Amino acid sequence: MKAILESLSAQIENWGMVWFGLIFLGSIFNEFSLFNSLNISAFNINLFPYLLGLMFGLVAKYRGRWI
Amino acid sequence: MRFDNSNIPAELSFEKEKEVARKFAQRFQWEMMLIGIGQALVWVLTWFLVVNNYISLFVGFIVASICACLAYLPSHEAQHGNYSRGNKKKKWLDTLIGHVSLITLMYPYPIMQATHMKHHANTNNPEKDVDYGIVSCKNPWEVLLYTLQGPGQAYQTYYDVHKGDKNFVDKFSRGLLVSWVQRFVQLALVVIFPFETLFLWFFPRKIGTFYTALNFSWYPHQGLEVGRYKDSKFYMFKYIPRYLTHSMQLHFVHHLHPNIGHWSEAEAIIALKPFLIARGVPGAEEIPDKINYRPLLKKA
Repeated sequence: MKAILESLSAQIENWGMVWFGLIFLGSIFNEFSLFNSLNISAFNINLFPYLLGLMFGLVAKYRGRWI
Repeated sequence: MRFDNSNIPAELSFEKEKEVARKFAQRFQWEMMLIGIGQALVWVLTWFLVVNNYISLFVGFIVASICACLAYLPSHEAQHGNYSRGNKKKKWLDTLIGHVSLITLMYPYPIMQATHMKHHANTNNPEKDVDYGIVSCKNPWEVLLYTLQGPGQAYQTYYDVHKGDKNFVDKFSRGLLVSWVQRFVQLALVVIFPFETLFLWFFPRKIGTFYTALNFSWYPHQGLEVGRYKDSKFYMFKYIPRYLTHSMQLHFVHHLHPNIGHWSEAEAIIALKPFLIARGVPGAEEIPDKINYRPLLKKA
């Protein structure tokens, strides 16, 4: 159990920014993209906004900071 | 750093100082409880009203930001056990208000408690004071950038410094669990309510964090040295009444006697003024003879 928690903790510590970028920023960008009627897909989800969020997250992870 | 008491007259001894301070560390702080629980309830209600289109997202954002600015102080009193005041049967009050009040800011209460105790024990010490990252900022702009960025690796560094303290480690570990739950809830909410999460939680907690860092951590300690009577100052602003800064003009007395309730600090400072001047607390000479409801504005 301890090993699982430690590995989870390490995962969040190392990849937290990437997950945050993908889910948080991706969701926000996706919501913005819904204003553009051309981009609306069947499930109101576009790949591009989430990729953009993921990219921001990856850049932040490798820079070590957001701003 | 120990204070040299050899030049202090007997009537202003440390024992006498503690005796005076103790009188102001008795009162049950119902106002703080009301603010702590109240702002959290208002914040939850704001979510309900915005999601159901009763109020606009912009109004919700303003209300949530005010709640976030009010969120830290009630929990801070809980961190010092100032609701239970040593009564084990009332300990749950500290825990309840400590946790609930911080939901708006998304801070884990156990980590706040653990690191805040270390801040008190090591104020302004670059290696041991967890708030030093803020204290070392040169101006409010740097404080803003620091708070937007978040502590990053700083908490890991301070954890390593204090990991010999079992109580600290236990609280920190519990706080990590709380932090994971908070992050998970926020990520789940952002998928369901993206804009609402951004404007009712993410931005307000950034504003609340900046407000708290500026008024609690930065200005009262900025530019000061290490030492019980030297690490915090009394001050007044020309245009900002103390009610807008959570009365942090009086924060130094909290560092000297953390068990004095926040609402009693004004009275306590008047009673303690001779002790503070004798010990050279920065700004102590400027303390007015009466504070109670004064906004503490500096005269031109």
